[in-house]
Amino acid sequence: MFTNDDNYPMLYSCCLPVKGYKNSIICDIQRQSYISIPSTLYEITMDIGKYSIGQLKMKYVDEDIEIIELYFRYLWEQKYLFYTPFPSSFPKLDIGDWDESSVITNAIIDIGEDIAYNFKDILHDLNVLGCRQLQIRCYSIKSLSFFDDALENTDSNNLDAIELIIAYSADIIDIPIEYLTNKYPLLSRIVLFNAPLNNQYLSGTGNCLIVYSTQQIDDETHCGAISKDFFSFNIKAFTESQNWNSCLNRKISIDKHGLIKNCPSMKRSYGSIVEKSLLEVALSANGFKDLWHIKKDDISGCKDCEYRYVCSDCRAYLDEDSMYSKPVKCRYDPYEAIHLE
Amino acid sequence: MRDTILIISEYSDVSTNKVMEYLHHHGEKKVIRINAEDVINLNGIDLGTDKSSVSISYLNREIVYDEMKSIWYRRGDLLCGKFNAYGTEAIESQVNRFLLEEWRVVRDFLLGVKRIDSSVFVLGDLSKEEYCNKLHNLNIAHTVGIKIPPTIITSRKSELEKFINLYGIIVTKAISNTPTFHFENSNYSTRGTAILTAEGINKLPDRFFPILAQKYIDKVLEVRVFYIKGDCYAMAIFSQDSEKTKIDYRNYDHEQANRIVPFKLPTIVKQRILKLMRALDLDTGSLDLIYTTHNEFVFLEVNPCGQFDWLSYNCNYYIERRIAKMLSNGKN
Repeated sequence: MFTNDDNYPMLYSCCLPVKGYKNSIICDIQRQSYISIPSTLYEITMDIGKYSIGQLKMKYVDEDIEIIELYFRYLWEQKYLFYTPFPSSFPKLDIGDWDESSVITNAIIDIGEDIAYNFKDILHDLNVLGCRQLQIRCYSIKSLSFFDDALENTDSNNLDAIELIIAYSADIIDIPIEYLTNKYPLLSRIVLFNAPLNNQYLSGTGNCLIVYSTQQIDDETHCGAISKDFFSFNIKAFTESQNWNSCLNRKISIDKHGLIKNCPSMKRSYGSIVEKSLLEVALSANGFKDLWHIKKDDISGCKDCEYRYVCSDCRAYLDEDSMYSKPVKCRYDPYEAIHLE
Repeated sequence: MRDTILIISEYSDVSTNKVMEYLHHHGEKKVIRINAEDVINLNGIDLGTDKSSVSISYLNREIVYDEMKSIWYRRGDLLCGKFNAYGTEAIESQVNRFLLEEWRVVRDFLLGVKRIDSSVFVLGDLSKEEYCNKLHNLNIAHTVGIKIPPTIITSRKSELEKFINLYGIIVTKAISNTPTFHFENSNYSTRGTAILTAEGINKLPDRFFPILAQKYIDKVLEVRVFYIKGDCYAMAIFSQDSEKTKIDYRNYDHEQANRIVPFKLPTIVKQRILKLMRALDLDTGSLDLIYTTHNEFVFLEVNPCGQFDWLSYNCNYYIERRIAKMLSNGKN
C-alpha cells in the first residue's frame, strides 16, 4: 500500500471522522455503521487526503510511519480508505446542507383522559405542514373504534409512517391488530407496553412491526431515553444534527392535556388544541422554532462525545437547569469513554 | 398572471414527487402533474384568431397556456382520451393508427411550448427522449473528443471473431434498452452488460440478428453524471470492489454496497460533456462514464430522462430542490 509515493490515501467521503474527548469514531453513513478509534489517532485521520504517501514519509519519523501504515491498512481492509493519485477528484460531502421540503416532519400526539381530539382537523393540519411521521401514544386502554376514529383520515395524507404506542389490553391483540395493519398500511410499528411478555413479529401485511413489551409506562416520562439502539447513521440524520436539534427539529406535539408543545414532555405550551390549530402554532407561534437550533455541538457533554451526530437528543429531561445541558437519561461518559451503570 | 407549473411524468416517478414537495413547500399553488398513465382532454387550440389560445384539461383542472410559467417534461407521454370511430370496425386498427398520428402532431404542438410562447421556461423534451439513439450519441461523443469504447454492430460471426481477436475481452448489451420478457407469470430481465466469450461466439450461426459488441475496458471507477442546464453533478461508483458489479453496476451487491461518493470531473472532461449535451440539444441527461486503468474517461451512454434520485441522495446534492427552484423562478 505504501509502495507508490505518489498515491494519496483518502477516506471515502461517506466515511466521516467525528472527534470525541477520549474516543473518536469514523461514521460510515453509507453502510450505516462506524469504527471506533482512540482520539490520539484523530489528528492523523484528519491528515488523510491531504498528503501523498511520499509527503507522509517526509512528515513523520520511521516508527510513526509504521503505525500509520498499519492504521491505514486496517481502514483499507474495512473499505473506509482507498488510494488515488488524484485526491482533488474526490471532494468532501457537503454535510452542512440539510433540507426538508416541509415545515413539520414529525409529530407526537399523546392521548389523555380529559380531552377528545378532532383527528380530522389535526390530520388536515399535519398534511398541510407536510408531516411525514406520526406517533400516537395512549397511556390508558382504548377500544378498537377509538383507533379507527384516529386513523380514519390518514390514507389521503402525505404521511410516510405512523407508530402506535399503546397500553396492552387483552382486547387489542391478534385479530384487532391484524385488522388495523390491514386497514391502515401506513402503520409501521405498534408497540404494546405493560404487556405480559416481550415479543415481536411482523404483521401479516409484512410492513408493520408489532412489539409486545413488558415495560411499564404510565405517562410521557418514559420518553427521552438515549442509547445506541437509537443511533441513526444515515446521511439525513448526520447532516441534520450538524445544525439542528436531533429530537425537536421540525417536530410538533400535543400532550395528554391537549396542549400544543415542541414535545409532550416539555413544560412550555403554545396553547390548547381546543383554542389553537397546529397550523397556527407551527407557522406563527412565538418562539416555537427556537429549540430547533440547539445542536449537539452546543450541548455540554454531547459536544465532546464522538456519537453526537448519530445520536438522538432530549431537551425535556436534563442533567441541570440549563437548556444546553446533557440529557439526563444518557449513561455514556465521553470523558472516560465508559457506559455508566 | 403566469403562475402555472406543468409537469409531465409517470405515477411511479419518485423524483417528480420530491420536486413537487419542494414546489409546495416554496409556496407554489398551481402545480399540475400529468402522468403518462392518464389521459387528457383537449379543450381547444385556437390559432389565427384575435385571441390565439391553447388550453387542455386534466382531472378537472384546466391548463391555460397563457398562464404557464414553467413546464418540465420529466418522462412519460401525453395521451389523448379514446374515441370510438363509428362504422369503421372493419378497419379499426388502421383508423386507430391514423388517429394516433393525428394526436401525435397535436401532442408535439402542446409540448413544443417554447415555439408557442418563448417566455415559458422549459426543462426536458419528449421529442429528444423519443429520438434518443444510442449509436448516434456514441458517434457524436466521439466527434466532440470524448473517448468511447471500440464498438461494432454486426450480424456476422466472422466479424465478432475478428473483434474478439483484436480486443481479447468483449461485451454485449442491448442497442436500445435492457429488455424484459414475460413468460409463464414471471418477468425475466437481462443483466444489462454481459461478456461475450470465444466459446459463446463459436456456438453462434454464421449470420444472426444484429448485435452490439464493445471492447471490455478495465476500469478503476464508474462515473455517473447528472447534467442539467449547463451543470454537471458527478458521482463515482467504486464498482471494482465487488465481483458482481465489475461488468455492470446494475448487478447490485447488497452485502457490500459499492462505495458511491461525490466526484469532481476534470475541467477538460466537463467541457467535452457540455459540448456533447449541446450537440445533442439536451438540457437534462444522465451520463454513464468509466474511468479506466489507463487514466482515461470513456463515455458509455446518456439517458435524457435518467434517474437522479440515487445520485442526489448519496452525494447530498439536493438536485430535486434545484429543479424546483428553476421551475419556480422560471429560469436556470
